[in-house]
Order: sequence, then C-alpha cells, then structure tokens
Amino acid sequence: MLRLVLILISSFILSASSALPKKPPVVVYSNRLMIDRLMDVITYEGAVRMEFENYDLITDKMLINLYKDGEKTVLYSIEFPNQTKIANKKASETVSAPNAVFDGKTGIIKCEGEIFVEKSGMLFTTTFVEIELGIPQKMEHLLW
Amino acid sequence: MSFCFLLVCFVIYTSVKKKPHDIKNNNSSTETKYQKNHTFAENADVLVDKLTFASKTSDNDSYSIVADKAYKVKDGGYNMNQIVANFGVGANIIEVLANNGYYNEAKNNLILSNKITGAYLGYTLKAESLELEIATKILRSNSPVFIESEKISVSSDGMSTEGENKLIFEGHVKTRINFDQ
Repeated sequence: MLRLVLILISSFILSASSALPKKPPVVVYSNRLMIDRLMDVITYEGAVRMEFENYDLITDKMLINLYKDGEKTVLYSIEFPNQTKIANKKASETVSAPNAVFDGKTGIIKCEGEIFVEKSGMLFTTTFVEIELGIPQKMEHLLW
Repeated sequence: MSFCFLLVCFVIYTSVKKKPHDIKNNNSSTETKYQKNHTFAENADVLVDKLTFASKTSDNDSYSIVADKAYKVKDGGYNMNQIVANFGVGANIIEVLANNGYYNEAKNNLILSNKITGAYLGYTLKAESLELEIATKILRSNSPVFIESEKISVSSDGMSTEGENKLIFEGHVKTRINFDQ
C-alpha cells in the first residue's frame, strides 16, 4: 500500500515538472546580424527590435556576448550601447534609456543615464532603472 | 493519275518541311529559360554526365562538386544540373545540394541557384542563390536565406561570410532563439 502511494506521489511530481510552462522564444528583428564565432559576439544593427515575453526592446544596436562552457554556449550579457526603449506591454510601461546592459547571470537589465519612464500616462525621469527580464542563460548551439 | 501522285507528294513534302521550323522555335524558348537558371548556355558544346571535381584548398580542406549533367561553356566553366557539393571545414563537412549551378574551375568559384539546401553541424540552410569562392571560403547570397537548427532560426534577404568565423545576415533579418527548459 505504501509502495503504491509512493509510486503515485512520484508520478504526480514527474507529471507536474513536465507540465512546467516553457520559456517563449526570443525573437529579434534587425537590418543586419553578424555572428562572430571567434569573439563569441552576436551583433544586431539597424532597426533592432527584440521581443521576449511581455517585453519589447527597441534600439539601433545590440550585442549579445556569449561564452563557451565546455560544449555549451552561455549568455554572458546583452549590451544596448545606444538609446534603447524597453516597453512592458502587459504593464503599459515604457523606459527610454541612453544605454542598458542585461546580465545573463542575474537575468536583470540595468539602465543608466537620463532615463524617461512613462507609466499610465505619467512621465517622469530618473538615472537608474533595473528590470527583471529573465532571459535564460543557457543558449546551447547558438554558435556553430 | 500521275498528276494526283505528284500533288500528294508535294503536300507531304511541304508539311514535312514545316516541322523543323516549329521545333526550332520551341528550342529557342527553352534555351532562353534555361540560360536564366544557369543550366544551359547558347554556346554549350560538350555535355558531360556525372561530372566530378574533387580537390583540396590551401588549408588542406577537401572539397568535391558532383553534377548529374554538365555543359562546358565557352568561358571554360560548366553549367550544371543536380549538384551535390561537399566542403570540408576542419573535421566537419558542409553539404550543399542545388538544382542548378555554374562552376568556374580557373576561378574556383561555384554559383548555385534554384532550390538550394545545405547542412552543417545540425544547421540546415535554404536559399535561392548562393556563391562560393572555394579557395577563400567566402560564401555570399543576395537572395532570401533561411537557416535553422533545433535552437535557432534566422531568415534574411541575404548573407555573406568574412573569413571562417564571421557570418553576416542582411536585409530583413529575423532571429528566433528557443530555450531549453
């Protein structure tokens, strides 16, 4: 009887873990994409628009810095060196910053400089904003 | 009676004489169509079945180009049909298939067109045109390109390579990155 209960519990845990929602893909639109395997950098230029979950990130240059951990490719950071607009579609919130950096380890994007935040029709300025984007760090086979 | 016989002979002769003219017209339209697809040239003089080129680059990477049919053209190049090309990159191989192509042995460049598919390290490539400079390992495409693997897909209006380590996509570029969870 105890064995049956244990089997039932373990099968429930297994089914629950497999039913975890999958992270949606990151979709990036741009005019130019350069993959540099030697430097482990992916550069997007032109009209860049990155879509991930509720967020749209709009800029003219974006650099994805990767590093290789054995066979795996891991996301180190995403740099937005020029003016970047981060729109949270769900919260109707927009952040415009002169530059931003996403840390692959923490999953947080940090914006610095003269930042304009627009929320619910209100506009205010600040010098530092952190947003949790939660892009997974594991990016296997991104580089050939 | 003999007049009737002569009349019948004349009618048959004129009808037979007309036929080559019709065939010539059909041929010229076919030639024009093929020329656009780099499969047949006006000055093609030699037809070769199962043409194979196999050699090595200066980096000692081997390559081979096999065509079901090839026509040697005036400039010394070959217009080819049903091409299978393999290019060694270190220990790995890039395999490219195309319906049509042109290979210039002197310049060592291969221009592929019409339903191009490629495979390399789990990536698949689809393109409408592709130019490969084999000696310098430069790859170029000025038409829409689609590259896909299990984790990433890229579509663009064109692509090119810079050396062995840089891959550039241009035009309307769309990248899709899937995650393991």
